[in-house]
Amino acid sequence: MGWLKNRFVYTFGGIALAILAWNVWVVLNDDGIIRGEVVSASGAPVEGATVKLTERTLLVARPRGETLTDADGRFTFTGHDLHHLFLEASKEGAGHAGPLEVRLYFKGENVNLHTPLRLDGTT
Amino acid sequence: MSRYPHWPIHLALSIASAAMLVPFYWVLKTSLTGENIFTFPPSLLPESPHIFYYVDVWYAIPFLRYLFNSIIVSVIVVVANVVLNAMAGYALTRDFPGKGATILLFLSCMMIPFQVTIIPAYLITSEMGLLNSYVGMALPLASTIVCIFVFKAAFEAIPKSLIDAARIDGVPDWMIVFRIILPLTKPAIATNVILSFIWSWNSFLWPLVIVRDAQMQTLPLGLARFLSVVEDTTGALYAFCVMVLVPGLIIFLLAQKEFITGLTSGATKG
Amino acid sequence: MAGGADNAPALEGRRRGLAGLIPGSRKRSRDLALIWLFLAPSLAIFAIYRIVPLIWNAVLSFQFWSPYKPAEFAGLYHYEEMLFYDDAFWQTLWNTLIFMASAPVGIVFALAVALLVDTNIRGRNVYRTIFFMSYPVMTVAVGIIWQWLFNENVGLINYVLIELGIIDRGIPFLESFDWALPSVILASIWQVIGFYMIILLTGLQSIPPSLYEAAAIDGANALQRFRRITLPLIRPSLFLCFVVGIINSFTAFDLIFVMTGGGPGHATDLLITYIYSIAFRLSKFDYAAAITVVNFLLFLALAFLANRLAGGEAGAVKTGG
Repeated sequence: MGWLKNRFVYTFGGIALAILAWNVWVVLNDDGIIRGEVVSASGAPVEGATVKLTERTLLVARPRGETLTDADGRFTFTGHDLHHLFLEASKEGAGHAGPLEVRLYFKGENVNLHTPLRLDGTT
Repeated sequence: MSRYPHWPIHLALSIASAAMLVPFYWVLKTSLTGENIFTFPPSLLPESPHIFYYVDVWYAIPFLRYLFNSIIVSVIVVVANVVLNAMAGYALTRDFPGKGATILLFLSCMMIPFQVTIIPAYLITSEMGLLNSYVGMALPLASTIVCIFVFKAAFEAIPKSLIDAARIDGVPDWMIVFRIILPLTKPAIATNVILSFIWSWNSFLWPLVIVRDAQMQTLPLGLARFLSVVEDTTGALYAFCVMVLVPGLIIFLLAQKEFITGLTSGATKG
Repeated sequence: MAGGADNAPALEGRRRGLAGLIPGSRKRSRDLALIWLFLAPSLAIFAIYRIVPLIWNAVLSFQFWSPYKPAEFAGLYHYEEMLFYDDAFWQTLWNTLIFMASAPVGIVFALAVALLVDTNIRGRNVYRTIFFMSYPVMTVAVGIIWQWLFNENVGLINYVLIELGIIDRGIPFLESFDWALPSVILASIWQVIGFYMIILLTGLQSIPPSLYEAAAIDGANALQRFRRITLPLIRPSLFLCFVVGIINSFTAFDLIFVMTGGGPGHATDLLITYIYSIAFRLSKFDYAAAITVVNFLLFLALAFLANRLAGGEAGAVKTGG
């Protein structure tokens, strides 16, 4: 097996392993779930805010869905297949938030947004 | 030799090296930040680098398809070169009527750059129905005269007594080939592999002429096409550039010594 | 190989395999068949892609022809048009010659670098790698990188020039009639310089050190040693670099295609890019064939000239290997 011990085998073997590991990671994390929170200007969770999801590609931007926040101000999109998207939130009387740009490492990556969408309080 | 101080040499070489490396560095930096499109003056170090331009490119173009096409063409060219050139090189070590004429023919073919035959070559390829095909892309590069002569020299350098001795000992032919001839011609094979790989991997004009089908495009074609389609997405364009450069650079850095000896022997013979 | 297919003539087969010929007409003719069999694939490829196209190209240049039209004899029509009515042809020819004439600039730089890395300083292999790295990489990518470096508003070169106070505002290098060709040439030199360096380095390393030692004892200074020993002895390498430069100017398609597409106007069009656009953009194959003939003749003449100047050493093929 001595002939296997050369820099070509190490390099390309290493690359192959990295690709394999990456693909395993992708398969485990590509359910396409986006979770986030909408808060008011004062920081309190907002129920019933509309959150819009927009797809962005190199050439175009197009709307891909809408959802409402629950009682805790949280929202969830499922089954997306995007890698570059914008989130916008708005509620009558509570103002507007975003658009917040979200870039993912692969299509359909699961994300938990750590910073909430903060409505600006304008009407 | 070291009577003079070394630092002026280092200084001069460092400046020159910087000139050689800056373009590489800059394309890498831009692919990670994209900032230079909008910022002037540009900053020297990447600020908040990210790899999302690579993600964009990955989903915008069939990169794997291009890579696959490039690899297939290169593999065909490299294998064909080693086999055909070794065969022709071996034949030229033997005596046969017409040998002089054959060598003369090869030498005069060497004076015909492929670029000056490109129009009829295109028409011929089209007649053979090989447009948009791997074979069509690979065939003109499938044998190279320089490498035939490299092989010829390598075969001639093998001492005949060695082979005769092996034969007297009853060593079978295939074993002579694998145990004696192959190891002794290894440098020639390496030269051949490197040269044909560079030529096919970087080949642009010929695929550009004969490939219309987007599915059959190789990496350089894909890159040129991407350049013409998207003009504003500079970060993504440079990310694509890096992705195209990396496979070639990896192979170059791994096989540097072979590259350099291969290219010089190719050049001195051609 | 021939032997080993069946057992009875196996020994004979082995004998035929690789070493010299044994007299005997049957063996001899089999051997000949084998030799031609080995030569056939390469010969076929060169016939299909070099010899037949060359002849076809010459024939085509005397015809009116397009893919869906039967050929018609044209005489010297295309040549007349090219030589007397086509300004673009003359410009591309001129550009090609300028491109070629720029080779010495690169060679001088490469020689300086080669002399420096030929010393016994530390890290010389790293320097060599760095210089050589630009040569084997894909020219299309190189073109894109340089296109950006030359950019009027955000290019690095303009930025550096402005910072140094040489110019006040950015120069649109690749869009300017004056600057486009020199810019493309600079990029081309950048890519090929490593190759020149390696060729020259091989030449330098073949000079026996005893020569320098003897000269040093005789009291020759560094400059004298360089002029009397180094230069004459690396002459073949230098001429080889010129040949590479000449070939480069005839084949530098990728860089031009990506960086400028031949423009502005025909300011950066070389013969080869002009031929490409005439043939494959305008489908005037017959006219492009006529330009190709001129291109080829020019190439032959220059290769011959370089060969003569080099005393038959560079560019010539050592058939013996």
